Amino acid sequence: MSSSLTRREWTALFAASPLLSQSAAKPAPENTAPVPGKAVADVQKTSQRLAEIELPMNVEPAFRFAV
Amino acid sequence: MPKSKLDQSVLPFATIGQLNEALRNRDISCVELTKFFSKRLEKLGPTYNALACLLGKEPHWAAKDVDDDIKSERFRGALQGIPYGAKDLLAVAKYPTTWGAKPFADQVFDYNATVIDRLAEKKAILIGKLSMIELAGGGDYGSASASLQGPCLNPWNTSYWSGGSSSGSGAAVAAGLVPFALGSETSGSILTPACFCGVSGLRPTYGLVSRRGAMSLSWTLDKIGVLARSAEDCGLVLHAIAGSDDDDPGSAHQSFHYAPEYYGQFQDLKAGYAEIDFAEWPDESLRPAFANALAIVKSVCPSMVEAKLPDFPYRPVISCIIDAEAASIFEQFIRSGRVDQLADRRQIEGLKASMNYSAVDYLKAMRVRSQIQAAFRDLFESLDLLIAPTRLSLPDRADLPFDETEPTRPDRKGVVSGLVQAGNLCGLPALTVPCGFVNGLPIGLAIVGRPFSENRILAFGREFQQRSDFHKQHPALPV
Repeated sequence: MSSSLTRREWTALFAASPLLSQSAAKPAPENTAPVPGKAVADVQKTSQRLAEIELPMNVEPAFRFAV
Repeated sequence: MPKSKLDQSVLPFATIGQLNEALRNRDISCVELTKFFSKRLEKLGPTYNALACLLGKEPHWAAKDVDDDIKSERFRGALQGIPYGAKDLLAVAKYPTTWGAKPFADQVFDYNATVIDRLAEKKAILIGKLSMIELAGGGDYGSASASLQGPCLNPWNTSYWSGGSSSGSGAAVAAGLVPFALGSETSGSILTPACFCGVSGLRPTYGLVSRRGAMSLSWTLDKIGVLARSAEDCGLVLHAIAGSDDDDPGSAHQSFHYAPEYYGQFQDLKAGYAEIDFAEWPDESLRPAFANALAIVKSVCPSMVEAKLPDFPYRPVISCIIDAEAASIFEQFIRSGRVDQLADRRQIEGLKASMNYSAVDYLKAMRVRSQIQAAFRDLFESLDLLIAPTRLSLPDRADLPFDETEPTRPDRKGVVSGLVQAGNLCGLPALTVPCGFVNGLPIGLAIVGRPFSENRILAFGREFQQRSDFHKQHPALPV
């Protein structure tokens, strides 16, 4: 059987397939009920507060949790 | 009724050491002791909405084994034969583990949490699972009713809440239904109920106690700890449950040996505190009791120094981390709509809204966290302990929505503002001990130390309790 896919493309396709089939077999049902405003506003406020903090670019996230 | 030689009236509020001595002296058998506490928990647990599930025959068989051991003089340590309760966030094989939430009411695991197995190895007797705020309060909550068992009532005054999220653990220890209980803390869930219920509560260093078999709320913040009658009892239990666990990715692979006698020199201890935390930050009615507590603290440690927490926005940082991690952990639960079966409207809305955090938000919070950790490392270069009121107000009413009115506090800050959040962000150990009473309700003192300095904070708490008797008082109980 002829194919126009390269060996690298075939490898990528096979490597990706288990993940694709899992997500296709078990789609997460979506709860579409709207989230009331106050809770969303609180999250936005927290995001905003975090955005206002200036950090040097070389500050990495915490990777240890007892220091 | 026990046929023991021991006066029954002393049993409910006896310490682990006293109960262990009574068992060794054969003043009471372990079967009698287990039956005594199981009956109390069964009868009085529901009075406070503190009981999630009573265990069946297993405690009786375990108690018989202990009696056999003691008859043969096989003594196995301080916890041998001591009954206890566990927050219903911990898996106990074949029994429901509900996480305090109706949607998980039928959940049963086929294995024990590591801490349950560790206590079984030490021959402690698990007699029941204790109520909690649903999902340990992930997403926030608006009243004490946010629990499968209903509002957990404070044994000191049942009009008030016991605190959360380890609500049943606090109430059950305070009411003498169990000698000690396991709880968990992500941000305040051991310290708050221990403080409100007038018992001692220990939040260990992050990673010191295995979380395998515990509900995850925040991988980078969750800790398992102890609520008990005294600092000493907290130390004895921590000795049993701490240690490395390859099945917990957060394990620090550290052990802990309770040895407060090596940390009993307080003359040169550098304890940081802020006068303002005791004199101006608490609600006005609490200030005289905190002033008295501070005087006792100063008698223990004369070389205290004024301290101030580094200036960081602790609350938004920890909120974002808890919310984002909880949103990921409970993603399917939220997306499927099962979240709507929770009891608390604010919690439902909070969990749904948490899905809106971006990766940038979360990483920003974790980057600020690393700066907070660096600042605390610097702070603890010159200090051994931080000491502050555990809570600045008395508990909320159990029958009303929480009062969200922001109380007026001074602009100037000391230690207490942000200490719970900062301590958890840095994974620091903390102990709360009862330090007074206001209107018949207990207040607490928090002692925070460097990572893995549990012996030091426990030694300090033990000394405080040798100079005071707040921890020996107990509520009047229903007949």
